[in-house]
Amino acid sequence: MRLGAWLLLLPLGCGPVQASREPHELPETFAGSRAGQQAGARPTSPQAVPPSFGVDEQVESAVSPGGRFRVHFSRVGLNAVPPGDADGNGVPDAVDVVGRAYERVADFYVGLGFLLPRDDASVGADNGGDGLFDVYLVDFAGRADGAFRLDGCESVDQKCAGHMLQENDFAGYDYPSFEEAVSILASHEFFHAVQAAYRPGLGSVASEGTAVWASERFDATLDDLEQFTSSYLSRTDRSLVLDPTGPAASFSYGAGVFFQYLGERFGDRVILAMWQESLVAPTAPWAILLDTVLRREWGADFDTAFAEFSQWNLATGARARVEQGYARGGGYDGLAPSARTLPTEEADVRVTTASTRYFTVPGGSAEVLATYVLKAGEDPAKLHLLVAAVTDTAVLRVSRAEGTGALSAKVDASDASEVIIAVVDGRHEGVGRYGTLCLTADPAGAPCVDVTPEPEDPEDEGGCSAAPSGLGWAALVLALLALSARPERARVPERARVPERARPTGTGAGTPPARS
Amino acid sequence: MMSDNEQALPRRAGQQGLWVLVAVGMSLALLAGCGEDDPKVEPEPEVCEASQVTCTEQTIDRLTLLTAVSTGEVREEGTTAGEFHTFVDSRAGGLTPTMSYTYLRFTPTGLTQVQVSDQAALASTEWDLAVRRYTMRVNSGTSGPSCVSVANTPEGTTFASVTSKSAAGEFKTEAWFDSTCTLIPDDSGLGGPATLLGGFWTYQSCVEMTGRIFIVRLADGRHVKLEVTGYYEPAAQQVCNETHSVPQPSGSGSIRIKWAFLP
Repeated sequence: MRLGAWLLLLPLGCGPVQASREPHELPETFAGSRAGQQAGARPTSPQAVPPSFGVDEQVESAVSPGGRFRVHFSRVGLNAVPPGDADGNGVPDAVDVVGRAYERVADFYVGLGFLLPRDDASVGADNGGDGLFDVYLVDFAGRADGAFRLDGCESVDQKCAGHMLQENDFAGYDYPSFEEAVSILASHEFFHAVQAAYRPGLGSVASEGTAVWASERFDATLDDLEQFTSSYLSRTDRSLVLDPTGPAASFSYGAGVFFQYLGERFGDRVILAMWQESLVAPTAPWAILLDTVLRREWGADFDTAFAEFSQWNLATGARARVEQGYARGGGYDGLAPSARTLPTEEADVRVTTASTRYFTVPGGSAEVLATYVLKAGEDPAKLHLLVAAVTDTAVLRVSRAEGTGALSAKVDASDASEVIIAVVDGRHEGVGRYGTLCLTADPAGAPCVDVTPEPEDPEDEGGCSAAPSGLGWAALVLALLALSARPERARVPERARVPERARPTGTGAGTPPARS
Repeated sequence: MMSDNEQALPRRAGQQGLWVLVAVGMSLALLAGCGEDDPKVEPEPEVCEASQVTCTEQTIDRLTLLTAVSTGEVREEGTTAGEFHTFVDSRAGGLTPTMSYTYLRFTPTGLTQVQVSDQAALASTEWDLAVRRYTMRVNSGTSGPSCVSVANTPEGTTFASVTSKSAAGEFKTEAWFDSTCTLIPDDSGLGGPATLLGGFWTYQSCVEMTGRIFIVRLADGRHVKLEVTGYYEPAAQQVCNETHSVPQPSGSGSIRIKWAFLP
């Protein structure tokens, strides 16, 4: 059996946006780590899966101040920790730092209501010597910097215990300091141990995403979330509910920004509730668990939360404002809308479950109208269209269209440097859907709406109405229904023409985004 | 203007290739019919019945199939007559790929690149082999509409020792989804698809070559013996193979494939 192929993570080329930090763990799957544990042992064993202590290394251990952790280390050899002992307690200061950090982290997670990892006294003789939670300081040689490994579970894939491996000295790693590296690793890796106390097999997005969230929640000055957000924000077209295959694990870390949204929007308890629900529904995917608790306790659901998350992501980086989304969104970067020119009409624009396609067009025009019309036969549910007028430093206003089938929204863009359009698929189950995206700044809406001559109507001499009349809406619905029902053999669908007098406005001509 | 990670191609793109294939098949049949007076009738080449690829939407999501055509270099490095050693730059933009697999076709002059995107390739019979990073797949089954199949050879088989297709085991087409489109993962623990050529590498602490020899049956019935000789640059690959550790920089994403047509 192949072990996690972390070296595959080493890229030769650089994509447009890559995470500035490598994933902490080797890409071991839950099943893989279980199998490894069954076949192997703790890093003190000659049979251990690397990294591990050498057979000639003298391994010592020290118990943390709170008495909950046993930190295993060596003073000489490949895995030696920094030797300094300023307090003269006979234990290297580096080990003291680790012990204190894990105690602080454990206290914090207990304070949020999470379970602590289970006692490992029952996992067998190779348990670090007692029931304390074991942290082994070993040299990852730059390949990763931590790992949580399972020892055993009380029931099938639930209520599991394990131990931790952590980089011994962080030499050559890109962390501001040893102490900060330990804080990040302790808060991230120990949260995997917390997850294991519930159900550790929820997949990499839930596992890594909530671990990154937990680290941020433990200490918002730590930069782990900020370092990974680009891994998600640059690839929002990927499904959030599908774990990435292969070694692209940084996407899962970047998914921490979704759980950050959830925590800020609904409170920390939503993350806790999701993990608690994993014990109630032992086979349900994380998105279903989340949907369940959102419906039950917050009157929301996955779809509406994901759509709002997609809007919050507009206000990141230089455009971040607290009232429009994240409390610390200025540090979240990497949103990568695809550039288009005006007007544009594009067939077969694909969106898949829990994903968002962002596009950008130049601003400066009085209005920008966007329409997205699903192909006939596609599931019309849980689709959203956002149209945002933005500058380099602000999101000025956002217009939204929700509902089934054809969506249309427009925004005042006269003071905008660009307009960002987001097609959001809020489903957490299903396959990709295709539709025609049309963007225009034409005052009459061409080519996205059908511009027809004004009828001779003495009662309507005031020109076209800005807001659709009742008949206008009816015409719009009929037109869009007709378009939706067109034959599929049309490879490039006919234009989604909407009668000019019935131009839809989504949620209006654009409303300032709010955290609502 | 479209960015590298766009996914906006028509699902039916490339289906034209199916019609071309049918037309070619009919033409060949007619030609064979016209040759009744010729005592030396050439055997009809096998005609691939192009098939509908199943679970395409799941494949697009699971394999992150994109619409930007690969710009990775493909070049022949071999010097032995009748034997090819092809370099394929399989980096695809890096850790999180930003471009499609590199699509390749076996020809008498070497592996040639087919300019097609991932999503269009799901409806194209023009390619035989696709490579991105360490994932290699052939055009059949869940991977594409053609009939390219792969057989393993017995463990220990060397490239030179394979002189005919008789060394092959059972030929199989790609099948990384079951009937319900649930992914059948490989055994790496990384959650990737179980591709037919996935056994060319193994891992301890770097990507080691297994030296496994595969026999590939192409859509036209020809056979190719194939060995993947490297994922890193040759010197780094050698160190990896010998010590289970690779020096940096390693040149990861530098796929090299040794192959030859079989009689």
